[in-house]
Amino acid sequence: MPAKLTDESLDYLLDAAGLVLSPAQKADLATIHDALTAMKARVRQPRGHMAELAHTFGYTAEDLG
Amino acid sequence: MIPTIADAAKLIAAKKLSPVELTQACLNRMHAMDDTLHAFILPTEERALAEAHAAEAEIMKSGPRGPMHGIPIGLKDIVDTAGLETTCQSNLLAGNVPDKDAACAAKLASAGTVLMGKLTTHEFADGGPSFDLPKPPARNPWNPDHFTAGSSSGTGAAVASGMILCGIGTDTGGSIRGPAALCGIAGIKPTYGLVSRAGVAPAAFSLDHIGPMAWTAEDCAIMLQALAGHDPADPASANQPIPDYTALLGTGLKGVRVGVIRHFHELDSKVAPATQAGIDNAMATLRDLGAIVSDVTLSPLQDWHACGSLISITERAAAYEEWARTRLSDFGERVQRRLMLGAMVSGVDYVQAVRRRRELRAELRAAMAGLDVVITAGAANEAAKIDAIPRWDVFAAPSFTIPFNVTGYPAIAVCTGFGPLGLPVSMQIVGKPFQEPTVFRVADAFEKATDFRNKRPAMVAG
Repeated sequence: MPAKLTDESLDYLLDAAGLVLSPAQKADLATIHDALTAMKARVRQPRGHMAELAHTFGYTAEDLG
Repeated sequence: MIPTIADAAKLIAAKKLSPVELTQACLNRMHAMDDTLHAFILPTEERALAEAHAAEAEIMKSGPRGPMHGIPIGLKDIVDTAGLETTCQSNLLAGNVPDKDAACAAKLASAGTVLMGKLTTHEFADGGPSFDLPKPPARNPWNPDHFTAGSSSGTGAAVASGMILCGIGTDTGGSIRGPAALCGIAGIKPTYGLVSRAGVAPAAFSLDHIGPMAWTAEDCAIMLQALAGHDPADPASANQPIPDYTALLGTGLKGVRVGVIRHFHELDSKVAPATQAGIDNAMATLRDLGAIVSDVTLSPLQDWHACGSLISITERAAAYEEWARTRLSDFGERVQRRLMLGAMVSGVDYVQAVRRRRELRAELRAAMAGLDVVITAGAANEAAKIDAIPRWDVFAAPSFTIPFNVTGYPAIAVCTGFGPLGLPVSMQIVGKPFQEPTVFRVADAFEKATDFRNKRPAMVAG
């Protein structure tokens, strides 16, 4: 998501998501840009490229059976 | 006097209480209060009476199947029920009649419960309270001008008002524990994978949990016994031994190690004075009962909230992408807003959140290494007015409940008293994975050492 949300960048994101919004909905969505950006910053920690996802899984007995 | 499940089961087994009497009393309360509370989307009165009569006949002939036999229950309306409309409180599923029960519904039916009806939910377990959905939002029995929290709003209202003795809730970020907290009941989000999600509409796959809501922790334990177990139909189902969830009740708290995540509710997102007093008094009670209480420090609550929220936003947007693209305006306004958020979160954002999730889980595991449970607030305050919930509530304040969806650890909300408005306040008790018996041990000991379980909403007493 761009640091500054312009009308064009919002239209691009919505188009990529396949969502068709009214002008009022777009304006409403734009109001949370800063809060959402702050959330995204919180999940970015100095962790390096080796850090795994929580979804990484091992094979179970059922897989191997 | 509304019996607990534990009391009713004993009376039923002794043939001193008929499931028909018990069901009729619940129906009478439903008739008296549900026009105000809107806890039910679809009452099933005839079915309830038929099931109660069948339970009575079977119990008279061969005794009860177990403690849930003949107990009036409700199911949140995102739980599939064969032959009964399941709408998820959405126009998109008007007229949807599943041909198969969800796993949790089937388990409760086989335990001999009496289905009182389908319970109000926020649309697809998200977003509410909303006034633009097929049915009105549930209201808080302690004061119907106030919110129940959600999304298991109908379950919270119906249990607190005694229209059912227990019900199914689902919890993606706090949807069991929030309504339990604000309605003054007990509600447990079990360990991720303990209760099958098969046949329950998803909110966010990796955060979704199914669990019991009831008047007491003991009743939640009894209900969980009927629900827990491996199910190959749920890809996240855990294949773990199922213990006796009531085994540790009444064994006291001597030596139980309790950690308080004080900074969550005192610093990161400061709770109301009544909530703080409730937690402080609860810690004093637990100490008096022999528990060893210490402080625990974790990452700021905002980090947990950000991690869980980004995962939730993205997984929900993926689950409902097709309808969001083709029928967005058929959703209520609040869910439309949530689905719009999906466009703003990239794949990389999601993966970073899932990497953060691994770190946060490791952090909680390490913090609990020398502890049995940890405790924080269940909600920030008493319930707000139903028309005062922020439009973008996900950004309004960090959630006290979502950290334990992020980790999958079991967490129960229990009532710790009442605030200046006369509405309940609460705390959460969180255990290690699959250690629900310890969670129930602490919650039950606390409830039995205090008198908060003796007070029902005035509209029930009246």
